[in-house]
Amino acid sequence: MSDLTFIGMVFESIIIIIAAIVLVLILMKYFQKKHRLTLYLFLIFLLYMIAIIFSWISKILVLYSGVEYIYNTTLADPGTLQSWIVLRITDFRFSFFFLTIAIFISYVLKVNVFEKGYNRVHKIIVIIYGIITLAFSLLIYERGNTLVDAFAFLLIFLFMAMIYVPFFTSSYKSFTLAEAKTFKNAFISLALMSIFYILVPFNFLIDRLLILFGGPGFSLFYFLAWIFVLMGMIASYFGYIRPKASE
Amino acid sequence: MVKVLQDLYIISEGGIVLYHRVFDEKLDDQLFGGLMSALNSFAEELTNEGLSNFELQDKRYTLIRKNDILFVASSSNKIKAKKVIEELQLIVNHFIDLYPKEILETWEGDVAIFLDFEKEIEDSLEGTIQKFQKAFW
Repeated sequence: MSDLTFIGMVFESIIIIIAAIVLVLILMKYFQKKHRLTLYLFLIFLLYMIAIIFSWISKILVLYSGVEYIYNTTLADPGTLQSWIVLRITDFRFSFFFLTIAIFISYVLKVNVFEKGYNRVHKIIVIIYGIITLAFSLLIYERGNTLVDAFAFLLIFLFMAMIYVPFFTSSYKSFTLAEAKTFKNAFISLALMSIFYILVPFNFLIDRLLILFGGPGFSLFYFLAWIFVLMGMIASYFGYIRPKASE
Repeated sequence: MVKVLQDLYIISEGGIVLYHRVFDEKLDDQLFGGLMSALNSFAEELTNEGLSNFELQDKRYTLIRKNDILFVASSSNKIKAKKVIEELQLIVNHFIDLYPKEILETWEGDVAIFLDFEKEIEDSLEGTIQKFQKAFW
C-alpha cells in the first residue's frame, strides 16, 4: 500500500511541476493582456494547483509524517484542531474545497466568454450547489467512512459536469462556426479540455467506489484521473495560451 | 457563443458608407458601399424588391433596406438565414431609433456623427472570438 502511495506521490509531483509551468504561462499572459478574464483563468489554475498540492501533501503525511492516526483507523481521532485539519487533508477534503471554488470561477469565465449574461436560475442553482459542496467537503466527514468520501467525490464530479458540459457545448459550437484555423484549433482544444476535466473526478469517483467495494485504492482509475489532469492542462495550453490572434 | 454577424456596413441611398465595422478589411469601405448600393438598385429595377442576400464562397451577405438606408452584414453561410436577419434587424431598429429620418434628412455628409453607433451595438458584434482575442490570444 505504501508503495502505491509513493508512486501516487511521484505521479502527483510530476503533475504539480507541469501545473506550475502552465500557471506561470497564464500569469505571463495576464501581465501581457491585463484583462479580467485572464485573471479568472489564472485564479482557476491557481486553485487547481492548490488542490493538487493538498492531494500531494496527503501522500507526504501518510508516508513520512509518522502520525499513526492517519493510516491506522483503529486508533481514536485525538479530536484536536490539528487532527481536524490533517484528516481532512488526507481524505482530500481541502482539495475538494479549492476545486469547488475553481469550478465556480470556471462558471463565471464560461458565462463571460460564451454568453450575453447570467441566466438567473442557472446562477442560483450553481451558487447553492457550490455552497453545499463546499460545506460537505469540510463539515460532513466521518473518519474511515468510504461511502461519505465517495459521496464527496460524486458531488465534485456532478459540479464539474454541470459547468464543463455546457463549456464543451459552447466550445464545440464555436469550433464549428469559426473560420480561421487558429481559432478552430483553439476551440476544439477547449472542448477537449472540458471533457478531460469532467473525466478527472469521474475516474476518482470510480477509484473511490472500488475502495468502497473492498479494493486497495490506487487503481487504474486513480492514475487515469491524473492522466486526464495532464491532458486537460495540455488542452488548456492549446486553447488559451498557444493561439495567437495574428496567426 | 460566436455572434452571428461578422462585418457590418450601413450605407446611405447615395452609396456613402455611414458606418462600417469590418474584422478583416480587404476592400475600401466606400468602394464596397458604392458597389452594394449599385447592386441593390440594379436588383430593385429588376424585381422591385431589391437584393435580400447573396453568397460568396462560405460567406453570406444579408441586406435590409429601411428609411432609404441599406444595412449589409456578412455571416457564415452555415448559420441559418433567419437568425442572421433577426440579428441584423435588431441593429437596424437600433440605428433607426438613434438616427431617425429627421436627422438623416438634414444630415450634411459628416459620417463622424455615426461613430458612436459602435458602442451601441458592441454586444452584437463583439463575439466570442473577439473576447478570446482580448483576454487570451
